[in-house]
Amino acid sequence: MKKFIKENWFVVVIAVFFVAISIFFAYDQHKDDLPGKSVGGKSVAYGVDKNYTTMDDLYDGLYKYYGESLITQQFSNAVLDNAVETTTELETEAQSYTDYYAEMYSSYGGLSYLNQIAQSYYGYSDFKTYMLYSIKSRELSTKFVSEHAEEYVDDAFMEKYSPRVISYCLIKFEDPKNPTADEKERLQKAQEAWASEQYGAGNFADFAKAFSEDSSTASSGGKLGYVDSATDTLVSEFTEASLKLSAGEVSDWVFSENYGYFLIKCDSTSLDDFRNETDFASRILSDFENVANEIMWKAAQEAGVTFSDPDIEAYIKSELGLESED
Amino acid sequence: MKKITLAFIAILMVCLLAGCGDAHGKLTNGNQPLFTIGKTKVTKNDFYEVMRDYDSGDYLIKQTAKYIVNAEIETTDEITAEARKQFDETVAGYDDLAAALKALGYASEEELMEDVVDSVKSDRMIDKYIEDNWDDLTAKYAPLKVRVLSFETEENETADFKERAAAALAELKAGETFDAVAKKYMDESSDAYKLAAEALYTTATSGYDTIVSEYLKTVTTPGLSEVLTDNTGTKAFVVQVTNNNLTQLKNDFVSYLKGLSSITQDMYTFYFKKHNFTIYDIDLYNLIKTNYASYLVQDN
Repeated sequence: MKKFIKENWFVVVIAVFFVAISIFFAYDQHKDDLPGKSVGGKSVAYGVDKNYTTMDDLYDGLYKYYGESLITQQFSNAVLDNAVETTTELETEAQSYTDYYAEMYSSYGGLSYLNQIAQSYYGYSDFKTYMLYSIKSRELSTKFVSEHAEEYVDDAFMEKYSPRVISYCLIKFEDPKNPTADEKERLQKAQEAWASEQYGAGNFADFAKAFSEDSSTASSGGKLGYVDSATDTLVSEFTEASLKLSAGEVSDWVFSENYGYFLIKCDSTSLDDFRNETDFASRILSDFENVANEIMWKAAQEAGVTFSDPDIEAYIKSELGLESED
Repeated sequence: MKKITLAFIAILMVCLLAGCGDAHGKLTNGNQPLFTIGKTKVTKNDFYEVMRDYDSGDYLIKQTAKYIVNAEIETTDEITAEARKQFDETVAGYDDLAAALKALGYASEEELMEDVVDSVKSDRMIDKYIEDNWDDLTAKYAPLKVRVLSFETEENETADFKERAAAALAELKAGETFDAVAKKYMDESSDAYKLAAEALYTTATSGYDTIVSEYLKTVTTPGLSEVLTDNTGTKAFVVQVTNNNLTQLKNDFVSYLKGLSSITQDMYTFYFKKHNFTIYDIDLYNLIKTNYASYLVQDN
């Protein structure tokens, strides 16, 4: 050993220097690391004086406050992850909604504000994730209701709601009670075209594409989708005119104080034509108690559900309105 | 020999680096699934993270504050009586006790009463905090009772504002009352006139001109200033310190401190430090650093 050191003293000095530097580097890198603590073999989360709260105690404390509300949400998210694939289209839609609401709430802080709300009030990591799960829930509900529509739609439903699929063409007036010369001219052109032989109920979609000034529906031939007597998102004059139409019929021009002039077509009153509509699924969910829970449980069963915690199983089943023996 | 040396160095490096890094607390049976749906397994660890992030540190801060309140303030008969009074007032706003407990989110009367007692003790702890930190607080805020006369150029005044200030000061020195001089030389409807009334001043009080605040820092005994002119040369002031006796100012100063929005946070920061509040998990540490930075006292 002595001979080795004597013969290779320079190498030994370099090696010792290197080891010393390595030790110092390792110490320096980690000297500010947060130290952990264990008590009775369990990890400590925090302490005050000599009073230590373990991670397990913290878990139990948090569960007491938030467990039941959040476990149901986690169950729902897991069901949705299995039942509805996260496609590029759904991601894009979620992002689109996120951008829209971020702009709407820009004065409150925009996206940061929305992310804070999503986390603090709904338990999601961020707002886009919250939107994505909302969209997936919509997709699952729409698919289920479409497949089981006959269980909910009977003569009484049809009479109560007069459900139908509607398309429309809008000639937009900024201030409908005081139309400009240009607006009047556009309306006249549209009215003349509609009155001509070029257009009719059979090619209403072409007419809407050519003349409708509602950018949200014009490109799809004016298709609005599902409307019924309880639809409250449309102006009353539009809904009233829509409900008077038979399948295939087109209304007269309908004046709206808010928008201008509508021409409305009832595309269909047949279940097969509105069973896939999202708003029809919303109607069923709002009108029939427990359908949303039924959808959730059936989707869970189809994916295969197992519980390891009997208390959680009992709670989730009670929330879904199920007997614990199911 | 070389192989042994290299092996030794490698082992040394591994020993140095292994186990290093910020601490992550572990749950018992954390990988145990709570439920599984298809391919998705939700474990105890997963659910803990969801609850932890949703809570944002509120629970552990409240639990720590609760411990400290009970360590610092004894539950006396007086506190219990006050708590019972507040409890009854709270419940009176509901149809009955059951409705009150349900609306407020409590499982039992004992739970609600416990929180009310803690709330009363928390109020008492502010008094204790002020008492425990009297010297530091009086040094920081330097309370005084002051009155201020303000003068500036006005359209209907022929005399220069400095001349009016000098005349007012002369009258005060001659024995005229401050109120009379203020009414004589100032517009009673002006905001500046409000400062002519005797008020508690501290280093955190706003609404006083810089020249006045700078003067008040130098005062050691009650009395009148000379005419003070501000930095712009457009305003003049005469300041009277009526009282700087901390014993005599105590009640007013304590009321003032209790009215500060920061007093509760300052109090808990002090007691969190006194009781060695320490976090041993890096994720919790970062959460508290984001949401309750002033209570993160372990690095101070």
